[in-house]
Amino acid sequence: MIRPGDQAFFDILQSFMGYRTCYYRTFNVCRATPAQHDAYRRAREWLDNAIERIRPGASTAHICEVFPKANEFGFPDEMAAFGLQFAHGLGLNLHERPIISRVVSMDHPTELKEGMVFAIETYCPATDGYSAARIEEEVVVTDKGCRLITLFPAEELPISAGTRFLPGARRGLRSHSMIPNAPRYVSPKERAENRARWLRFRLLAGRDYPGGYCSDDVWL
Amino acid sequence: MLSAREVKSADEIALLNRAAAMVDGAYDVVNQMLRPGVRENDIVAEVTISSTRTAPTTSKR
Repeated sequence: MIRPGDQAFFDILQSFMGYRTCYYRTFNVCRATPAQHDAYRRAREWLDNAIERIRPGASTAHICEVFPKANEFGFPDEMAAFGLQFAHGLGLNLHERPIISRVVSMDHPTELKEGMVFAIETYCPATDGYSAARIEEEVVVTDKGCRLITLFPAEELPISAGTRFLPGARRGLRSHSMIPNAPRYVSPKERAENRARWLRFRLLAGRDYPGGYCSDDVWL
Repeated sequence: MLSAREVKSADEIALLNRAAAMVDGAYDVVNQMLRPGVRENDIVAEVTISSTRTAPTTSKR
């Protein structure tokens, strides 16, 4: 059951006359924390940088350069991060050519041509240890550049049932002021602590039970 | 075969564009439904309804 502050991730796969979509969006409900906003901004920036470089004749290695490296967003090697940061062609199949990814495109670049349609996806984990941002957009390569065909607005983190509709909600979860462009650094140790604290809270609060779990229910 | 499908014809681009438009509509449904107290499966149901209404299909996929 959705609660204020939750994140919701959707990948809606449509099929129309056999032609597919691969269209991912991240939503927040009622409000979002600075860490969630920051993760979204980073994911959006990587995606926008990639879209700017798309034109006919561009090399997939050139597009790949603006993708973050695997260790920049928390993975040991490129293969582990493959499904989270890449672009794939789209058509009668969900995954077609071209594939643009740090795993293949740096060593085996191909050339983009006018008329190609592909979906670019990107992912950024948040420093709180449990949130993330994931965005996927579809583009058509035109004669001079490209054109976006996934038009649901996602330039900023979409907040459904946001502060305009819920009087009493204050932007940001904390009472101190947000610093949108320069969030403080969260060390891996603090991040792990945040994650542990969240897991303990989930156990005690018992999302699906109004009173929380009783001691008999905890058997982990 | 795979390389033949890399570059899409104008008709294919139009169909892909229309499919994306249908999902824009599904996301509008998602946005409207994402409120406290709503169950995730109910949202999935409404998205499926929207997708089927815009792209009806004879087989259940």
